[in-house]
Amino acid sequence: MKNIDNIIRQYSEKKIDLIQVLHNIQNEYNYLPKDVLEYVSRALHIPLSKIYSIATFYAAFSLVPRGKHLCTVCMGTACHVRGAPAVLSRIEERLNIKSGETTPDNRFTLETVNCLGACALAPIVVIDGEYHGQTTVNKVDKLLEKYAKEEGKA
Amino acid sequence: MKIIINDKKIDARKGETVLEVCRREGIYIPTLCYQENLTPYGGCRLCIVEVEGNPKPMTACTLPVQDGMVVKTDTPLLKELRRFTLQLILSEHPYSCLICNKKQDCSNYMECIEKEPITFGCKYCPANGNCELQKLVEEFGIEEIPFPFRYRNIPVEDYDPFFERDYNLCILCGRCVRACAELRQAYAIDFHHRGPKTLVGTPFNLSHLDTNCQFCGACVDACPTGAMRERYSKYLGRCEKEVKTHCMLCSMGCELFAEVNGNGIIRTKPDKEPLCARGRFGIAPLVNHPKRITTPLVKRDGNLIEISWDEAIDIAGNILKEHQDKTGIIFSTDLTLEAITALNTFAEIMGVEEFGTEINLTGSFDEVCLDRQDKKIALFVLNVDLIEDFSVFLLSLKKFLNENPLVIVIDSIQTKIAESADLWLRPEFNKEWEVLNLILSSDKLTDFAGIKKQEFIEVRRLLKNREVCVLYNPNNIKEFKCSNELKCFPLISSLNHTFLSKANILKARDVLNNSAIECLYLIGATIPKTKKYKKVIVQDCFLPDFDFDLFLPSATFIEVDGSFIDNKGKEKRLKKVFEPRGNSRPDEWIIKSIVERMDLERFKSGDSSIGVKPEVEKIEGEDKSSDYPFYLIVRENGFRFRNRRLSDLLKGFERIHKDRYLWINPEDARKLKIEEGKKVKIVAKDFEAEINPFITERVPAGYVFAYCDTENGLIESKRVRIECG
Amino acid sequence: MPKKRAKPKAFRLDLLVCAGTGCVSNRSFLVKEALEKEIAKRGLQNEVRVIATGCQGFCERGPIVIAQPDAIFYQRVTEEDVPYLVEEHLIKGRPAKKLMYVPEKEALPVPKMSDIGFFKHQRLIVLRNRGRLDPENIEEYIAFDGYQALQKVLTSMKPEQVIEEIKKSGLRGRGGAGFPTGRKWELCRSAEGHPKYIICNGDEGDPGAFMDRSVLEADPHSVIEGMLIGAYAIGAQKGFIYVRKEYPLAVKRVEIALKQALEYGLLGEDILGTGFNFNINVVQGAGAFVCGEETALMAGIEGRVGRPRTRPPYPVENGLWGKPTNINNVETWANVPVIILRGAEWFSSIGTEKSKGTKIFSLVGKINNTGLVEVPMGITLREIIYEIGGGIPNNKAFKAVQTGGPSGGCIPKEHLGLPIDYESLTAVGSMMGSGGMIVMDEDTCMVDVARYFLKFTQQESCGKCVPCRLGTKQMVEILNRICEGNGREGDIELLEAIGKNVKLASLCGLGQTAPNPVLTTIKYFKDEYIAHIKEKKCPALVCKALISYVIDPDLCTGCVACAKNCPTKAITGEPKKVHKIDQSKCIKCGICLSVCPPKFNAVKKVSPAI
Repeated sequence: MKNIDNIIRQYSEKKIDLIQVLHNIQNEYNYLPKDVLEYVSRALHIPLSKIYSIATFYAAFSLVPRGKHLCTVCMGTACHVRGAPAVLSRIEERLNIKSGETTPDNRFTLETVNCLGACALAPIVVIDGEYHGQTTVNKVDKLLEKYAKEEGKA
Repeated sequence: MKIIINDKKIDARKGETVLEVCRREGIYIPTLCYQENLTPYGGCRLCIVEVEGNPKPMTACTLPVQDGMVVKTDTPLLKELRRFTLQLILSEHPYSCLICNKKQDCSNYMECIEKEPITFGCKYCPANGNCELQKLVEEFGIEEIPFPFRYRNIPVEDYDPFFERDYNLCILCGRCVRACAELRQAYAIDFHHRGPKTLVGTPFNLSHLDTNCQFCGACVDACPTGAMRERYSKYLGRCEKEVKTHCMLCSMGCELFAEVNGNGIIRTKPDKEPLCARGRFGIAPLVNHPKRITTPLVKRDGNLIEISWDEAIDIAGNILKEHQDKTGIIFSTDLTLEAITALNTFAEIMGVEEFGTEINLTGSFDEVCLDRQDKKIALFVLNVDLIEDFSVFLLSLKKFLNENPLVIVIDSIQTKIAESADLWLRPEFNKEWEVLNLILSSDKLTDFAGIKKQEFIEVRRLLKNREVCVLYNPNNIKEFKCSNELKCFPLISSLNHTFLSKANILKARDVLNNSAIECLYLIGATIPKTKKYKKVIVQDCFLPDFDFDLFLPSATFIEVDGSFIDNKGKEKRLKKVFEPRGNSRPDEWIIKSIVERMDLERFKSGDSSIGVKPEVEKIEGEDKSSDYPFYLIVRENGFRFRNRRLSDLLKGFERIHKDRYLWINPEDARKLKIEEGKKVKIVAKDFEAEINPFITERVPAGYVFAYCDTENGLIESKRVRIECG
Repeated sequence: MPKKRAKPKAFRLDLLVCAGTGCVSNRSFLVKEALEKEIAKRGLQNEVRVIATGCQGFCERGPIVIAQPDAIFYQRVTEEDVPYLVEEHLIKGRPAKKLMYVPEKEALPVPKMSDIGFFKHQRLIVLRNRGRLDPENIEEYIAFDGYQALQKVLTSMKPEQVIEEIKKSGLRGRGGAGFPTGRKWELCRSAEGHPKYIICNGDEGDPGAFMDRSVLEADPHSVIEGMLIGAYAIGAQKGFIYVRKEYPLAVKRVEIALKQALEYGLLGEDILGTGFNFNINVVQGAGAFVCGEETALMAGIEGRVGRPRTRPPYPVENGLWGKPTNINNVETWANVPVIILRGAEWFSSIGTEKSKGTKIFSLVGKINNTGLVEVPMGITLREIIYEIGGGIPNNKAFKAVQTGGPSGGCIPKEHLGLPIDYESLTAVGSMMGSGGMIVMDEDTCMVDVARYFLKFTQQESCGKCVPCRLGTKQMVEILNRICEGNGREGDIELLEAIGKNVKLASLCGLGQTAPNPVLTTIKYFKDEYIAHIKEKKCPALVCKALISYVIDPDLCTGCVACAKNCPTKAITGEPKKVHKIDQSKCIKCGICLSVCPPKFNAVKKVSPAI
């Protein structure tokens, strides 16, 4: 828990606020583990119910482990108007999960976001921080194949 | 300042809200999420009012008054919006009976339906008749809900002690969340998720037992619907009469309302000040307990026979007369002053010197008195669990100080207050006061009694510019030294302390140790099961575990008028709520009847001394022999009612207060191969007992812990050994 | 004066590569690297400089490279194009024609930026430094009169004078509500309480809007300078920039800018030696649209759940930790330095009577020139959509333009001549909002758009007040039913009634404006609703439940492309023979339509469904 202690110290020194604490924990573990939240609650004298309330209110936080690859489909208005729902459906169909879920083999977590602000490239799919603009149903297939291939090599 | 409400000029003060002004003036505005002692929320939107100059209606509960404001509380638009909002609320709250046109005819045949696991409508709901939604539907005259209904299908939480939660009925008003946060500062529940998925609950849906929940019932009392409901009184009907009296389950003596109907007392509820789990959920089930004895009993040929009071008083008188010079009287501290005084008189007249009570009476205690300080307070808490035993005291202290004081706990046991304190020092057993004295002195700091020098330095740093107060339980320490300048406040769970400490009374254990005694008269008290006497008279509400010859059923404090002294030294008066159940009688009456029957004046014959000096209890030296490798820590048990533990009688208390167990550290348990569920034997020089273990980190290695349990001999801290199986 | 000032090297040519999120996603950083490598290869590294700048605005055409000082505009530049570009423009000295912009329906390229329609009609005030400086180098900002306004304010103006100037300018909040900025500052200054705070609201949650992101990425110092001036005027010593989590690049650029400003003595203690202290912290959002609302945003900064509270009291009286707090949008702050430098009179000469200055819009959707545009208030919708936006792609007909995000409404063809300002947009049932402008064509279903917005609002609702939490849910359910073919008589009236009540009874702006998209689409496109409900028909052929995919037997050549790709094997047919779609297996995913070769165009959508 050494990294957590660092994060806790930053909070005590008023360098970061509680929400940033949760961001940092999630960056470390790829999600918010229950025992880490309990540890932070005790260390900072903040009731666990408050922390849990914050973790479930904000969409950016996940209380369950997320897959190796985070696939985010933008559902902003521009993307919607340019066909994002079809793209999302295709990905859901291909990965056999619904938005918000993780594949059973833990490879992909599929999420939606309400506008990434790159509307000129609509519709957008972001995988592991890489933006893929003007996606179509066809491009989706190629993208997912690419990831499957890369892992096949590794 | 003046504001205009519905064309009337009304006085208002700066800082008031429009709703407060309206309530003061008797102008009605419907509310749901508003509760007087909680911060206004503004979420239900029922209290909206129109304010001139503002395009949209605003909630009166959060709207601060402004000079010259023009407000309308009851326009057609407001009426329509309120109806709309209430209809929306009902679209997610089972409303079957709310708008049914047969609801008047329906009432008489529905009792069994209340026990349906799913609440579909009012007739199935424990809050029927006591629900704020019902009142509003009637007021607004709603006869239809134009929206499709959604039953959220949330599993009912009925696995925790004392109260249940059916969040399918929850309207998300947040009163429970605010009550838990603001009134109790326990923060056990909060809102989760957001939007239409919002729910109220504990973090990670933990059982309330695994959170900071104090089972105080503030959430149950705050809930306007049947979502939060008390389990005990679910099917007992509506309250018909409220009587204000006091709780005698601990020395706080909190004021409460006893709610009564044809079924007797159905629940107790707080008035302005909060209650704890005992006062809120313990009293009604105790008074109505199926195991309570309400007729006098005598043991004949090994059987318990019911007898009349006449006969019982006779037998009592005869027994006491027969063993007159060899009689001891032990009483518990939770009797009324009237009973204790009668008993005292009785003892004097009878010439009984062996007159004792179960507390560790060391010196007299002044009233607990704290001046409002200008300085900030640092509170030291020694050997007392403020949250478990004195949560109400802690709340009133915080309220009085108008701040959250710095709390530093010095305790070798991990109490609940230790967990939530700002700092917790864990010294070796019995060194708490020495640690405190070291901190407060100006001596050089070193490692001491298991505490590191660094921790001492931290404490001294935190104490800068703070006034120090000490809270401790004298019943839990062997000895202490407290300088006169230091503000020390004893917190003892036993009642009537200031009165008893000034009286000429012995300690119970001295009476028990006097081998010359043949006969015991016990009022509310217990004795070790191993002790044998020729005759034992028990005056109480529940049967004891040890042998006795005569049982005289007492009335509870709900059923008598009387008074007692609380831990501030104040006298509190009880009001009789109804006649004692069955054939039980007030303690005072029983004692006086015996006195009368014995016609004691005639019995006062000259030499009334017992003639045998009581055995002086030897002060045990620390016997560190390997025969007794563990140190048993014994602490006062605040969860008692006369001769029984609450956990013996009511399952809920068994789950929140582990006083039927021997607490043992996991390391030690592992070494001795101890498992929960299998009794262990605890052996000391002067007693042994079998007891169930509770494995927990709360007690340090090398120690075991138990709440004071006279019946099994666990009366005071001493060295012991533990044998498995 | 700022402490350090490096001597600029003399370059004969600058290549400004757009490094806004849009172009970066399109590999503009790789283009930059390729340029640097090629330039070094050709030995030109001392003559030609390659700089990464913020968003140029013309995102449709990214990656963008601008050659200065001639302002030659290159678009859709890939790594493969780099050797050609370097050879032509840098070595041979003639602009690389193949990479220039050619307007729709025209043949000749337009080399200069100032001649290109997209840029010609814009008026850059907030975006004044767009594309001409490296946002990670404070020197460049300073070189373009950066922090001059701050110096003027600190050395020669009293706080009250600053407030007067902003009031005179007529600047109104650019976040959406359009509250007069000067007045807000005045209220905050005169409020009781200490310390005071100022906040920059960068939680641009409106889907389709990315103005604030671009400003923060391209010119973060303009915002910082604006906040410094505001802090001085109000009497605050601490500021916060709240950026949504979805903008990591913006956060990075702001943090670099803050660090540099601190180094240069423009932030922190004793700024410019005048005794004025001011510090800024960056706070990241966590995925909640409602945190764009002022009280929810402050809750987020305080580390609490982002649930709005009732107002009054207003943030200027009772804000962060109970203290007076002034919150302004990114764009508002960025306007401040230029108003101080060039004067309130100049600023108020731009725009309309009640809406002064310019506004940035993100022009997206069914439009040729997608991107970020800054235009003077009063410009007509037609001008933006056709002159700047280049009209609707693929010769489709314009249907509506949606402004104001989920709080706004859809404006139909008949109002294309509307001059844009706060009041005029509200008058037609929409609102300015943060500046999102989404163009819709004949292939957009307005009922589906309304449903989309309501679903969004439902997801983002905080859940505190009943009308928003449950009222919008009822509206979504009705819209779902309509789009699925289960619309009923009376649904439209019900939507209107619920919408009206939700608007009046909700606690915060989110709930109060959530019904707007529904109410405006009902107002202007009622026939579409009626078609959905009565005829079970979706005129725009969007709502899946109301359409069917069919293959026109006259056009199908049996190329098998659709059958091969159909995920449910619903298409049957022999090669070179007409194919048929089995409606019972068809899941209407649209893949067949997208793979059918354009020269055949045999797959059609029809409504009502078969």
